[in-house]
Amino acid sequence: MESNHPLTFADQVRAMPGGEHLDLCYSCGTCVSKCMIQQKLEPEYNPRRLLRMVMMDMREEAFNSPTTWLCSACDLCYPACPQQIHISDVIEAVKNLAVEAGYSTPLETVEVDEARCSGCAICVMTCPYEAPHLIEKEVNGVMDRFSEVDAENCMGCGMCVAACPMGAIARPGVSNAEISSQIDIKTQNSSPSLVVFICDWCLRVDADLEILESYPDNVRVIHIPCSGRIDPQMALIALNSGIDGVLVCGCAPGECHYQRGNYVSSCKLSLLDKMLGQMDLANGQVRFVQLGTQDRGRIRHEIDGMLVQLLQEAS
Amino acid sequence: MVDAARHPKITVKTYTNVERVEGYVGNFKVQLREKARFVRADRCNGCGECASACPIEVPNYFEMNLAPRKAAYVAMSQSVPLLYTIDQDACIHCYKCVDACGALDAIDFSQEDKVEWEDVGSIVVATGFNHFDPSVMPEYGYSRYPNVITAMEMERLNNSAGPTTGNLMRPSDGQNPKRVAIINCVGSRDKRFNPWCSNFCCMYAIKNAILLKQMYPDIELSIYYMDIRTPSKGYEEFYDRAREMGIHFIQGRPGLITENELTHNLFVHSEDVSLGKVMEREYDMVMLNQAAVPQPDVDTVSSVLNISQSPGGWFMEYHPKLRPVDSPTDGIFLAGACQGQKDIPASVSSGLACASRAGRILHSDEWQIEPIIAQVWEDRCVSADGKQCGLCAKACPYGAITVEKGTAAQVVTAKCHGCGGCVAECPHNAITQMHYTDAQVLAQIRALLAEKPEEKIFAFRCHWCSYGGADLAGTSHFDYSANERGIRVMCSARMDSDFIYEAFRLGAGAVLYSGCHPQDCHYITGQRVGATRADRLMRTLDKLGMSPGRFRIEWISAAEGDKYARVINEMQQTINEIGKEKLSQEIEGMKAELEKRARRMYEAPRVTEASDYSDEMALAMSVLEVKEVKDGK
Amino acid sequence: MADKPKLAFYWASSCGGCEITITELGMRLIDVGDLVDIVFWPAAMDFKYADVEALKDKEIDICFYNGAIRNSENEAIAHLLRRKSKILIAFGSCSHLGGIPGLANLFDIETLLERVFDTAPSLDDSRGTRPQLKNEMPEGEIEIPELYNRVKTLAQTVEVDYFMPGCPPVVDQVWSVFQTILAGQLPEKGSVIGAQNKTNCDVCTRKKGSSGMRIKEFKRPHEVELDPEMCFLTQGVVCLGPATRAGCGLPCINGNMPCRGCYGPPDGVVDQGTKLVSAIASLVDTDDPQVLGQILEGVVDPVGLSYRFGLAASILSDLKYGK
Repeated sequence: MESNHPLTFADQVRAMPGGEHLDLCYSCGTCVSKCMIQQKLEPEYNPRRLLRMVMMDMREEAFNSPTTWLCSACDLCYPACPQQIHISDVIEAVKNLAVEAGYSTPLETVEVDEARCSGCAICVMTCPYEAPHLIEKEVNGVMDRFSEVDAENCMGCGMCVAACPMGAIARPGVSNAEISSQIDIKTQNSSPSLVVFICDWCLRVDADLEILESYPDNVRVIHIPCSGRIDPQMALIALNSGIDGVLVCGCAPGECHYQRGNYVSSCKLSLLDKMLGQMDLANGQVRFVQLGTQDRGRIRHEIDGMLVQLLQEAS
Repeated sequence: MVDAARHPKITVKTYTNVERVEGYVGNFKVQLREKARFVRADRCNGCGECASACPIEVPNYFEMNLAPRKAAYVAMSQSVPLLYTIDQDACIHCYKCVDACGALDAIDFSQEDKVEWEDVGSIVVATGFNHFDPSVMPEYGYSRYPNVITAMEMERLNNSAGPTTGNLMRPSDGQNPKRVAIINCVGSRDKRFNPWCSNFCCMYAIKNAILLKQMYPDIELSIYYMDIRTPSKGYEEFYDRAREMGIHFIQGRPGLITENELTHNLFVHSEDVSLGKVMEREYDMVMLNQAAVPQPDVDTVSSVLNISQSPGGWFMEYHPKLRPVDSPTDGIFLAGACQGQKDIPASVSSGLACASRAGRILHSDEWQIEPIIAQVWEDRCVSADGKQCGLCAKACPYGAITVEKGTAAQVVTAKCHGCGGCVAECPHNAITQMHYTDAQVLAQIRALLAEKPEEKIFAFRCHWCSYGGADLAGTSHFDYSANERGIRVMCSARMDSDFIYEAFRLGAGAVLYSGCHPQDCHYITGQRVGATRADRLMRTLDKLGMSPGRFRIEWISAAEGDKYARVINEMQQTINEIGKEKLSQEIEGMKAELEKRARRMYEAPRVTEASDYSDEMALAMSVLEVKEVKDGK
Repeated sequence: MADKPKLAFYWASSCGGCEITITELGMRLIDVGDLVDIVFWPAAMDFKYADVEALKDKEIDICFYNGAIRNSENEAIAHLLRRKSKILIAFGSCSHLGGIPGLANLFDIETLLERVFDTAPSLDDSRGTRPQLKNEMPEGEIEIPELYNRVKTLAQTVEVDYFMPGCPPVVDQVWSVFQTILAGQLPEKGSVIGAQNKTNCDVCTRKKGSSGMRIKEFKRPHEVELDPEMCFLTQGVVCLGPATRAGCGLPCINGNMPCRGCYGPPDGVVDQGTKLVSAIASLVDTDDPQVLGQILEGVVDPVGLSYRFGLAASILSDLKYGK
């Protein structure tokens, strides 16, 4: 029968797209076991518990939960959910209500240098989260156009940083200079040198990270938030500085933590490959691999394979 | 099975398909195809010499393909009757089996399929269930990781008669696993595959865990579950026993299994819901407790026997509570898991129930059926005049009507369940339904719309669902508009277009066309017949200029009293919004067309005299030549 | 007369468009003539290399050098002019970044010669003639400059004080640079002059893309009817505007043609082409790896597209030919 009660917090969420199946949650934990954030970033992160908080109308707790803010809508959980709850939609609904209520994101987000921004909107079109948008404002008496980043939406993937043709966007840790400065290898012996750009999410298990750290100095590992952060220029700078190979690792198709970063990096590296081919330079020295959540141990094969290939090239 | 085979009054026919079923309760004719075994049943003594001699090996389905069998084989060693079969897909015709059989001379490559008809009084369907194939769930890696196995594979590996003689081995290296995970609800309670709980797997997981623990006391066992369901007698105690034995029960559905490619050990990634923490635990072997799903050939069986299916493909019972083993077709019964996922005690109970239900028929000389059935006025049926029609037969969900050109349509009384679909579909009013004749229904419509029809919401409800829904709305004291006037017919299939035209012709404010949800229809496909007609009606009324919302189609189950009340209230709101004046104006504008459409119904026998009225319609009727036809039967 | 600044112009491997730009100063050229002393301008007047050699070191105040370094003559004159000039300006895209001649770095010298002298369809020479560095002629031995394997920019050959981009630099910018020079207000050495710091998008008035506007198909300008109001990228056409320094006044964009990038990268950007590739790749809209490949097939010639004017200065050229 119809009810005349005012909408509760849970009702508000239920009314939003994706929220309609909220109450079907079994609390089975599949989403949590699929999600990488609890393992890699924040032990308190737990979508199952957030759904529960919403169901039980725990508004403040939900707004204060890191789950509300850290979900990047990678949607690894959605296809696995036995109740087909679109969890990231529910979380986004909670986040929108939280922003309305004056809460703000704890994430470190990108900022635009207006002295450099030309207002080309490439960041606007690139961002999977609709975080940047163009604004117009007066500078020295003239109206000028800039990009402005909505911090609540920014997930810090750095795709815009790589896409910006002016290098006008950065956040600590992912600026062009900080990443480029890591590209240096001092090889003492004759073993080939390799730079591995690895996205923060494509290695699911700690065992794989240990493999990555087990290589000697001739393999330089550079962590980037998303393979979409890679800039073809970085690969060329590395090669030009005498490094023999560049391996870029991202997530498997459909598994990008930032929705489209792996497609973006795939495009970048395909085009780079085509360019190297045009210059008669392509010999597999730059490679892009996409590691799936079940590819346990594959990183070793990829790096070893690359080193063997570089060794063969050299001899 | 052995007892059954020995019983003087039971004939066991294996390797035989039912291809056609004709007739009706007590008088079925069944066409059987006994497939050629290439072994003579009257000579084979099951010694197995042919199999020993056979050089061909193929995967053994009974052993979940974990072991081979020969091209000359029995399905399993306990097969009854114990007759060997030569698998023609595998046989290379070396005839070594013929030599091995020797003087017994049981092997006969000239054998062909034998097709025969049998007369039976009742039919029990016990086609069982199948297992969900977990290879469609990439997250668990089944068929990719060698040590991820299914429950049935575990069954064979842990069976003393199985391929490993009961020695539990990992497929990857033949070692005994020290750590085993069992994952429940694989394909069950999962809207991506099967929404249902498969009923017995919790107990099955516990049984397997206890067996393994008894066999290998040092083994580490974890059962991953969403909920443990132990509702029957002794089940919870069994669960307690497993816990006391040190079996880990981890609440949390794993989202992922990864594999160490060198050791082929498996890592189960799951949240431990109690801890709220993601765990990655290493196991030597993982058993997936797959869902129970209907047999792959349910559609064929259901069309041969003309029995309907519930959503998901299980065969549908006549009534879930009151007649759980009867199919909707009289004389056909559903035993065991073909009707729905069941454990062994429940399957046995339903089998025994079927035997008793079937026995009742076999012991009766006469069989009582419901009096609500269809009857044909033979002289109105155009088929008798040699014209092509057959719409009644097309509408019948039971195949109870036969139409041959030159004779009138025939209703097999024993097969008719009285949905009334044929009655409503017949364009010549040549069929009537006992207790729900056109005259009776029309008289009700006229009576209920006698006063202030424009204020009334006229509801057609089917007997099994929406009438119950309306009833529930009343007994639950849900408020709904007092302007509702409803009548009952057996099925939405009986809701003749003419009834709706007549209700509007009489000035009804709104008309509701309600029945069961498609999957709930009591008459298999009756609702579909009704729904198709209702959609057509909706388009016609729309074209005639009726405001949207005045004619409404809603499927309301007997449990949806709240929905019934809501729908009626919404319709009340609709007619309030349209306003009395416009309601009447619309009817005036449509009157000529409605009369034209309703007129033919008045040609039907006994309609005019049953409906004692004197308005302009009756005048119009009086000038028509009304055929006087006596009740044929 | 002696107080007037001494100017020199030189035309190396280029089309000559830059020289024409100077003549396009028109009547203003007369003012220039009054204010400066042109000591070397082979394209306009009969100067000999010997005249330059005769000058004292650093006697030329400002030298405008256009054209890339393609052969030994270009290189020798670059060194000569460097020695004789106080200020050396790389004038135009070719000397700045290599320009169109720089695209020859796509091929090694042998491939180029083979194409020009052996396989070009317009050839009618069965003798397989190839140019020789030295030839005996009735007048004696003559020598032609040696063609180098790699096209270089001026800055890759000698130290350059200022860069003035453009293919060619637009007239108004040339004029303002002259005025800056005459006023003695040249900025810090190494700067780009005659242009702005941000990119063309900063001054372009077309409607820019918004969230979710991405590229499903790359089109070339002749394959599509271009909306003159909308950013080219939103129409699937690659425009180098976002990766190109502003200053040209947008003649291409205003003519409804995408920017080709002749003004080179803006301040702080090392490699124009890879930056552009990074930007356009970020806009590709698909989640299907196969479709992704199909979309990228629309970028027919990524080097020619993103390094139309900058290949000689690019990291790619360094990689191919060594630094």
